[in-house]
Amino acid sequence: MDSQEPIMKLENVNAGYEKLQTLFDISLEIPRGKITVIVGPNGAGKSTLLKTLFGLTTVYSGKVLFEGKDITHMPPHERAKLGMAFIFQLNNIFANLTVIENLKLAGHDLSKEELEKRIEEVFETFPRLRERMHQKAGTMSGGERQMLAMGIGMIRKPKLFLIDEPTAGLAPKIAKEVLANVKKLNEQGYTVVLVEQNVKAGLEIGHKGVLVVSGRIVFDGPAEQLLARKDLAKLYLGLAV
Amino acid sequence: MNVEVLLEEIISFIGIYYILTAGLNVKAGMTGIPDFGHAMFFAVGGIVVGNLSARIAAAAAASQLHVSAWQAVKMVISNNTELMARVNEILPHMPGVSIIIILFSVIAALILGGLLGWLASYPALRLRGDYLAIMLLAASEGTRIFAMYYKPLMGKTPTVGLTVPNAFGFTGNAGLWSTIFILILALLVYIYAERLYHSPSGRLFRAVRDDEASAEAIGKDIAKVRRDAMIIGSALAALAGVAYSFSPWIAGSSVAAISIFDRVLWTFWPWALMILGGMSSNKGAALSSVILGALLIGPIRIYKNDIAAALHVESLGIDPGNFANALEYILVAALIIIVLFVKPKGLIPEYPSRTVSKDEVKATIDKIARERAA
Amino acid sequence: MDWNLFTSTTIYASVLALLSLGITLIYMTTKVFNFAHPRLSLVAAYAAATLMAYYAEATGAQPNLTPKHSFLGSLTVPFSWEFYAIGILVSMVFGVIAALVEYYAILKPLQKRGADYLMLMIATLAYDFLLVATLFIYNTHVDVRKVLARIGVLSTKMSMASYDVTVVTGGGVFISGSFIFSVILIVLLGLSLYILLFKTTLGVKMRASVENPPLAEVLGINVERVYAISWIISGLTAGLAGYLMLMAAGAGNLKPISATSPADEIVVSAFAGSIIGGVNSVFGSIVGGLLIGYIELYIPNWLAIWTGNAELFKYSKVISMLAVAITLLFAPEGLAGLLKGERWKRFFGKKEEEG
Repeated sequence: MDSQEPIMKLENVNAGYEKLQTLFDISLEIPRGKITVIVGPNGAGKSTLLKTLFGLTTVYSGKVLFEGKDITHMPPHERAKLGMAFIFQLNNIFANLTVIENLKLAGHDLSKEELEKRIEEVFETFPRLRERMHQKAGTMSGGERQMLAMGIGMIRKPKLFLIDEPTAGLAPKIAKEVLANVKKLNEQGYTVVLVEQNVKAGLEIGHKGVLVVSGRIVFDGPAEQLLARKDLAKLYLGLAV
Repeated sequence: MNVEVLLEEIISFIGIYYILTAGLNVKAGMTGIPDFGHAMFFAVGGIVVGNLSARIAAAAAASQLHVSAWQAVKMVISNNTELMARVNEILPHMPGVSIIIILFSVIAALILGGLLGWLASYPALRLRGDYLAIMLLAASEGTRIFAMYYKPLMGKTPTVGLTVPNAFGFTGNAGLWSTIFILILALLVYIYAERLYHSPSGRLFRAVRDDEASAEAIGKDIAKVRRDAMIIGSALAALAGVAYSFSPWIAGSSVAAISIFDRVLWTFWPWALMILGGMSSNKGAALSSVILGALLIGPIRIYKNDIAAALHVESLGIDPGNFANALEYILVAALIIIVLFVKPKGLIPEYPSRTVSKDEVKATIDKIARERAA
Repeated sequence: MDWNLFTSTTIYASVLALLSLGITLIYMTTKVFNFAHPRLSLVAAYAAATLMAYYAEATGAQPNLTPKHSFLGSLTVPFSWEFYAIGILVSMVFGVIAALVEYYAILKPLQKRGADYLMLMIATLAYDFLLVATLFIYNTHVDVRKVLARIGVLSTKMSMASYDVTVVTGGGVFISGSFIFSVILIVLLGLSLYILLFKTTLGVKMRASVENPPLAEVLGINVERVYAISWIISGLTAGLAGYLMLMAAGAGNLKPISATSPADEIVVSAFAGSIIGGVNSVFGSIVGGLLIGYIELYIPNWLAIWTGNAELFKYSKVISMLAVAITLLFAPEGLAGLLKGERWKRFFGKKEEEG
């Protein structure tokens, strides 16, 4: 498949939670092998947009395409089988299990050799996890937990990572570390869609920037271009178009 | 069985269960305190009548028994059956004392029930949900075992218990007048519960149940609200206990720890009635008590043996007597399960309460419109 | 040491441990305190007793109470070993059936309709009532009475304690089969649960499904199957508890079996075990159940000896109620929460705090 072809596409999507519409006429392309960063003020619908990609919302009209295939009405667990991994903002690891148990669980349907190979890859990407291998996941720091959440995702070798506000509630220093890890993930060849509350830090690691305000996309282009816009603050607040 | 007795039993059953369920409704339905120890508060009423009120009766009858009042009072525990048999012969000739005993029982039960509720509210302030339910269940069981073997409370033999004073004997028709008494109590409780539901404290109870954080955020003292609900609900349960002790069901025999602490009869039944009627719905509690009392329980308790005989269960090798007992269990269980599946909100679901009536809203809107126009 | 008190307390404590474990497993997966749990044991006990009696009738076996010599001492096995094997097997099977009916016919459909914890709790009560009614009808059925009477068992006050295997050692020490069985059972159960939960993939999946069902589902784990397995283990252990109630009626606070006893008396003690264990801890529940069993009988015993007042024994069950109150009010995480240290936490599966 042409690597220039977007991995995922939204065409004129209207979506929301049951009867409450929160997204209006969204059209978006997710480029393969890149980091797409979705930013926007609180309640603008950025997390809803991410959840729409994974089928966790109700789509009233429009089309959701994954590798050219219409998946608008496909349930989440089937999307997972297609190669999408969704990392929840909270409760994205098993706190009572050890790190290695978490990773083994993620690859419970793989052969033993394959699983070991993939766990090794995770440990190479995130060496810290190897150190904490037999520690209970719940006893790790917030940053390490996000690392493990990404590791769990990696075991399944997804074509697309959907990451929902991984830095929420973390100290700035640790948040930076988490974003660096997202970048690392991308350097391993994974395509990432990231929802980030910290506009600057998020856009700095992203290739493509998407700004959502009041349920509509008001900017869609290269991340550095969005970052460089002098009227970003105004845009963000929905004061300029 | 004659019709009058049947009617008295059914009506007093309805009254007792309505009061008991109304008490549970204040705690569990309105305030969200899952009280699985309701029987403990009901038992307070039985203890008040069988123990405290009996002592008053004994003291009053002492002179005619040729003992000192103090001796008579002590004999309420030490020689209960013999003493009370004599007392209950004398009491019908003392209408004044009888009325005092009835009033005393009601007031003492409300106070002591409320007091025990206040004590039990201590865990209710610290625990939530199912933990609290188990805690209250355990408390009730612990109290039951204590009462069963602690002689000064329930007498020498847990299965025999204490003979109740025949306080309605003076009327000449204890069955009828005790039924009227229970009916009046039930009506008073009904009026009180209706008022409570629509009062500011009633709204506060429900606010705490629905959204504790918000209720707290607007400056309401959650602890006090839960405590109040526990006191009111438990006092009502104790009142039901008094009603039961004077009712035609007891008919002047005795209250025993083994029966007044029974968790099936006095905890689980009211739960079933509350759910059937609709959680927190006072009308629902009344309706379900009436339905169960009038249509099912009365007839089933009384005619269950005939039902068993009519079904010819013995031809299947089933013991008719036990089949009849089982019928009652099957009835409650089936009722609960059907309601949970078919009408989980009960027969009369709670409706969102309007703090301001429609008319008031309309009047305000009109007023604003007029002012704008002017 | 009073050997008889020790053995009968151990049997009683094992029964509580088995029940607490089941209550905990059900609470962890289905989030409901199962009021019907001890009743499952009675169902199992009746099924076991009936089939044991039928077996004795079919094979024409008569109880033989003459002791044989063995390396342990004089051994009495009133019936053949198959008789006991049938009892154990049947009680397990019926415990599981009664548990699965509760889950699939009542609780799961209610959960699907969005029932809250109160409704589920009430539903377990209703199921309990249904079982009581069934047992009322069953245990006075003419055929049941007859077949049980043939081996000298009264159907409404059932005990097979006289048919328990017994050993009298050379030193004159009396050991009942139920005691040996309950000790072996608890040790085996603890070990096999440890292996299942911590050494197998299924165990990791079970722990994961309990902790974070949505995430487990996203990772393609069949959470529903895990819940079913928990219910099966709960039913199995409740069944075994029923078998012990039957063979060791009279031990500790175990009354002879009827439609209501001993379930009504021990239901709160069994909950106490689960709560003291920490509600969300499998091993905590076993230890909690054992602990409740021992303190319920030993503390009044000591108090009675100390004060010379044997009346105190009657209050024995107040102790477990007090234990529940103290645990819930002051240490709601139970034993699992009190034991600090990584190894213990891992062993007890303590719930970690988020954040």
